[in-house]
Amino acid sequence: MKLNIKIFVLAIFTLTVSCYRETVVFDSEPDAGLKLSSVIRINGKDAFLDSKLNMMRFSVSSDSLNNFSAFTTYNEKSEVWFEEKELFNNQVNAFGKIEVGIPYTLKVKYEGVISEFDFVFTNLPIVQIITDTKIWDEPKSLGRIVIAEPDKTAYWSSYAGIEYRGQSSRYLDKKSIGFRLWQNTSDRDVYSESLLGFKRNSDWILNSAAVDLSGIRNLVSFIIWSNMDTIESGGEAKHPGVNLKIAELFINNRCQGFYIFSEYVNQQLLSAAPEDVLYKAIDWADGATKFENYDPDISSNCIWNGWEQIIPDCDNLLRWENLNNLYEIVVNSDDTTFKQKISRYIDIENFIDYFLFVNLTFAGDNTGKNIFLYRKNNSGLFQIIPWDLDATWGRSFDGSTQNHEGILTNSLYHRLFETNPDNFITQLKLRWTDLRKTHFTESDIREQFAYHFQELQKSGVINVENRNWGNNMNLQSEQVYIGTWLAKRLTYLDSYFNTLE
Amino acid sequence: MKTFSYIYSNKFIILITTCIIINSHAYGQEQKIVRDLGLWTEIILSKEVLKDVDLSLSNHLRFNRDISSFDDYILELELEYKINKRFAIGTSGRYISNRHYDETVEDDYRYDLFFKYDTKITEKIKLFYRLQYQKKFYDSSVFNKYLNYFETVYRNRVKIEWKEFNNHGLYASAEIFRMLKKSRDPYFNKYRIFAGDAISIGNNELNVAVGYEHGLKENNPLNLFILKTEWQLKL
Repeated sequence: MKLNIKIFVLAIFTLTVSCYRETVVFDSEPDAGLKLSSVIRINGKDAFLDSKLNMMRFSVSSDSLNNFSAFTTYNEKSEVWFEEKELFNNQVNAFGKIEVGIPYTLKVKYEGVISEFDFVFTNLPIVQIITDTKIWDEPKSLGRIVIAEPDKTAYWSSYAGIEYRGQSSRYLDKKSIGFRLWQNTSDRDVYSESLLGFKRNSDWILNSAAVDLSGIRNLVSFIIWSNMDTIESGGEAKHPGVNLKIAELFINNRCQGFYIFSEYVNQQLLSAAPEDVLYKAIDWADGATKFENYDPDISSNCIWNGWEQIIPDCDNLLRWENLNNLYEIVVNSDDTTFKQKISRYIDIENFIDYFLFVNLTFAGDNTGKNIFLYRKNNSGLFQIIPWDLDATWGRSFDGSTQNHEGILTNSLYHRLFETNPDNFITQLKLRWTDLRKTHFTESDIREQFAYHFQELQKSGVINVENRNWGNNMNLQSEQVYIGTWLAKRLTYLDSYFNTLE
Repeated sequence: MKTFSYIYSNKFIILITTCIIINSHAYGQEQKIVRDLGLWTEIILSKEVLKDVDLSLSNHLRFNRDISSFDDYILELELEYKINKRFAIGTSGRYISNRHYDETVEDDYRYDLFFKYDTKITEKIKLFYRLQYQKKFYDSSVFNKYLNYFETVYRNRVKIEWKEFNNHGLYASAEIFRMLKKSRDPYFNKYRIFAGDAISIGNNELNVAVGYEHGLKENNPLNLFILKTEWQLKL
């Protein structure tokens, strides 16, 4: 009986002294649907919070900076001020003239207590990964991808499988990340979407650019590679490649700095037919990917001589015979056979352009490794697709400086030079001369760098990058370095190609 | 009887003091419940349908927000087979009308598989152990092949019961929950402790207890204090 009385008293007491307690946190955790609470939403897009730096970043279009007005929503129990000017909830508010990259003050008042944030507008798209688990190299972890673009009035969001990627960058603090779009929490329901204006794909990459002191070498290199194709060749693409954009990355409520948002080379990107093949050079393999030698025993798995079969899916079908045929003609054939037959195996125009491109950029990491070999069944010719062009423009794979002198080649190119099929050398020289008047002019390349350096610089994200990763990136000095190196490199290459016979 | 009162008096102090003293406060936009008092009520009808096989049907009503608001309704069917004096295995399925703090309600479904072991440590003290595997499908997703959202939990519970007084079985239990979600690392997501009295009333049993549940791996976890009453009617 005493027990029951005690319990009754306990119940009454606890009812009169409330146990229930709400707290309010900015650094919210992902809910069951992997969504985070928004502190403030402007024109249908959330401001992304860095809870450690007490900063919010908001992606905004450059044409709305002069008189920025926006529909603003926030927690109904709060009051919010932007630069001492009250923002009214669920109304269009005039923010006035704003600039990107400048920290403004945003105050949030809740239950009489005011919290203050740096509020930064950015010209860059913002990508956020929301996850409640660790990200590994493999397997993919469930997460949600949120993308806010400057000129869009709504954010985009999807479930995704997320993993670290990159052979060397996975050992760095700032890791490259890949993600695959999932319709739901199941890894079986993969789907494709066009992101940041790029071609529809299911797989995407956030390149950390961790060793690149400019952060944009890969981006600018691919723009030049793409431009070489569009203007000169026309018609069917001679230069399959990827498109990239600078973006800011948040993982939950922490800004990771800038990443290079990139397309992923796969069947969808290439619109590859089932009979096409794509191999990726993932290793030097004692010179095998440079065609110095090869192991003639055809592999019974996805890897052979440093190449990984990407298309067709090697788990379903192995197609090494095309690469084997190429090896036989390049490594084993005599000069006469090579000269007569090589143009039946490779797209000479593409190989010429790649040679010029890899030497322009001085991509020492891309003469064997970091390339794709793509063979369309209808042409039957291999093309080269470059990959991972961070170690370029005067910097090595570890970020150290490189001399501007030297010619990059491999054994396949050696044989092209030696046997000169279809007047390879003349074609090469003519192409160099043409490109030096168009996309290989010093001013054109400098402009490409200058534009993207400026985009990165004005966003102000470089400050977050340096704080977050303990870096000391100095874009101005790197721009000067690239400019100086480029001038010397072009002079050197002009001399080389002029004397080439 | 003196010891008996002492135990409950201390529980009073701990619970009430905790309710009063803990007063953490942060500020921002996401309102999160970090502390609450709930009442869990349960009535169980059980019957031995075959030798060593018990079938039970239970109804649960749960309240939250200092027992002022309806939380969940649970309907559960359980089958337990006593392998011998010490070991038992069983399975159960439950429907949950799950009302969240934001007043949204979802239908969840769960099934469990469990293994039980008990042994006497002394004449009056008995040790119980339960390993439970449970799979919970959220928001009726058990029927939705596209959503397929579920969680799997492994639960380990240890309970000690002390039969000092007639008809009273004083007990304390501790249970830890290990959560497995699809494409994510497993982790311990909460623990739950109870102290109570299982009172035999004829062939039936009244179980009253106070409990505490604490979320793990969160920055601002829910600290839930629980008052529990459970009637078990044997048919």
